[in-house]
Amino acid sequence: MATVKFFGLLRIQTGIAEAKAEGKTLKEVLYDIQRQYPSMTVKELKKKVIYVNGKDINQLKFFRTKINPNDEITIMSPVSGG
Amino acid sequence: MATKYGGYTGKILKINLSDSSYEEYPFSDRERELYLGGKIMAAKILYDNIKTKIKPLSKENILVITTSPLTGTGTPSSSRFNISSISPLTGLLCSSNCGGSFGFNLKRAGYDGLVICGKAKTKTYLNITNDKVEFLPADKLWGMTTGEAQEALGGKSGKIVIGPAGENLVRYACIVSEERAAGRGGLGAVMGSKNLKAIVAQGNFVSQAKDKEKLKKLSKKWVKKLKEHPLTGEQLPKLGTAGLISKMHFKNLLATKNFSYGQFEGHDKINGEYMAEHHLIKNSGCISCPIKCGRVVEVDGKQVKGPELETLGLLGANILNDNIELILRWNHLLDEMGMDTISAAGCLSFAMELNEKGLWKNELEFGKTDNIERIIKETAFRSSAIGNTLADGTREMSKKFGGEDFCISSKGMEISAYEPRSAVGQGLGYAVSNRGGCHLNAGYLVVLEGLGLSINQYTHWGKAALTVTFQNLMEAVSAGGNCLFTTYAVFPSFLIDKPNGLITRIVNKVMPYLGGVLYLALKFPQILAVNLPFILPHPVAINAVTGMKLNFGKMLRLGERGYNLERLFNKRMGVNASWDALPKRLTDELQDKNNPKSKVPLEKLKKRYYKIRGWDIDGLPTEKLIKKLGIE
Repeated sequence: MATVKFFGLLRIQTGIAEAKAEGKTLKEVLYDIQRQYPSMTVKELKKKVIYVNGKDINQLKFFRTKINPNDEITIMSPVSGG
Repeated sequence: MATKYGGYTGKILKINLSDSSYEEYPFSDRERELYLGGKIMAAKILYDNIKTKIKPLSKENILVITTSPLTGTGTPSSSRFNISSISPLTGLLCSSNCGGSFGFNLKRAGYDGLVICGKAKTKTYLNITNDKVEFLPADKLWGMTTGEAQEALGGKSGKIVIGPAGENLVRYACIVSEERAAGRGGLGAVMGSKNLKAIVAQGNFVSQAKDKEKLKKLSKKWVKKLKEHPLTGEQLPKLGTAGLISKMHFKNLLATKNFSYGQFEGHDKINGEYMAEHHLIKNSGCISCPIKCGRVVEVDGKQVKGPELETLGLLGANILNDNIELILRWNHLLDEMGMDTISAAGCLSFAMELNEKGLWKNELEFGKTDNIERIIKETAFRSSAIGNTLADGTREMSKKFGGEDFCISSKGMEISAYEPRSAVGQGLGYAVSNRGGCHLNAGYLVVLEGLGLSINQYTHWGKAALTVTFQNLMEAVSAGGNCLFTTYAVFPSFLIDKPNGLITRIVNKVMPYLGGVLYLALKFPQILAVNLPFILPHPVAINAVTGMKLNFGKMLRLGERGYNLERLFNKRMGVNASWDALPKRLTDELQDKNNPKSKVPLEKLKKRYYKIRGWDIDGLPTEKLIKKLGIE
């Protein structure tokens, strides 16, 4: 199972900092998260900034990115300001 | 000097501390049109009054405090005021912007600004009430922390104070108003050098907008927009600026171990989420601000201001500390001592590396935290050898001990927490910034290079034009009186809300190639002679308040004039292209050994930047440009 870490408002709003989820692709992992935590829908999760092993999915294959059991997925609400 | 424009009081007060006298400082409507207010108005006053290189802590230096036309009008996030002077840290013009209520109260007293000259013979504070200025003894206030001094002054008036650091001429001492600070550049030491502990202001003047109805309607829509925008309506109120820490880590932007790396393993223990979950009591904001980005946390049973991301990053990752409770304590202590947290932290990390490399044997070590609190106090009071050395800033430290290649400052000012080797446009900004290593005066391109948007962080394409555009725009917005956070709502929500969406991806890809278009817009801003209040409401608000006729293009020109005026002032202090520099660590050493682009290609970027600015090869505005901008 991949480890999924949540950051930003998503984490504050849901109170969930970390989860385990499975799937062969990122899309499947997102569906597994939705199954475990219905408040986090795939539609909403797809709007977040997502990294797989520290790499932005924009540099990978987006939601078709292959996921291995030891992968770490980071899902983060957009942030700015400083 | 009365004014035909709304929003202003029409009066600037010149105060001579040497002989306890005061008079009106002349400022014409023509000058208001050209220099508007805030930092640009202050730059004009300094430009007209300091014509040769002087010592920042001598009585010849002048402290200029200015409000803006929007200050006190109720426009969203418009309570800010500006303090400018020659910085003891850089020796150059420094403007420092502050929230809180002092600007609002200074205007209530009937003044658009204060020009403070000379040096008081004894320790003094000023009490300004309408037409009356009192020069009062500050012996009892001297030695007090910023919190104690404000409490001792009492009342509901607006106050600015310095702490022990300002009194002891620490080169990065700040000026504090309520829990907010005009933090950067050591202007608290300028106050200290003048024997001036505090200024109190109050009065009955009510700022009048020319078109109240228009302003009311615009403000209502503007507040709604700010509240609905994902950054200003959700992230900043709920997480504060601290919400950026982990994003910076993932983007290799989080300065770690004196800017050796861009990632910190302990980022999730010092981020905004952790602070919200474990320490946040509530959020807070300045007068008229719907964003409320401030954090209120508890230290020793007392509710105090929580740290911003720069402080979390620099007192966390950059010194290898993952204990947020310590950062909350140190942040409060630095505020009480009246010391800029960014520069203080930069001095600590530089001292740690000097020690690690054997260049200066001292007691500071990366990851060692038990001596920091004591050393902060010793720095504020200059009460030990190490504190006295740290109090002079990294530039002076490197003159003494070496380590220039990893002395992380620009023009003598310590760089804030964004590691620029993974945001090369931000790196350019740090180098060319008028006030030195400041992320905002730099143009804050990091907001495009990985924070708000995700354009290529390593390419040089478009970065110079984007930097100039952002610098000019932020300069003008600041002069108008709004908090710069209001500009984040300029980005359409869908670009922020849908980072993986097709349009966002296209914008991210295309933006670096828009340099040519921006160059044309900057050269001929008259082609942008339009007002788009749903994108940039700022000029529309200024028009409603003042009766001026600003538009998007004129705002860009106004900002350009301000930025060039500051540069011309700095030219008098000796600035040229050689000052636009970064330490070799950031320009010559790769951040990631596998990525040959992970360093700031500064010379290439500077060349393009000077061309777009219309500066000569020595980085100075040409006569033609000065004439075009109407700078006299």
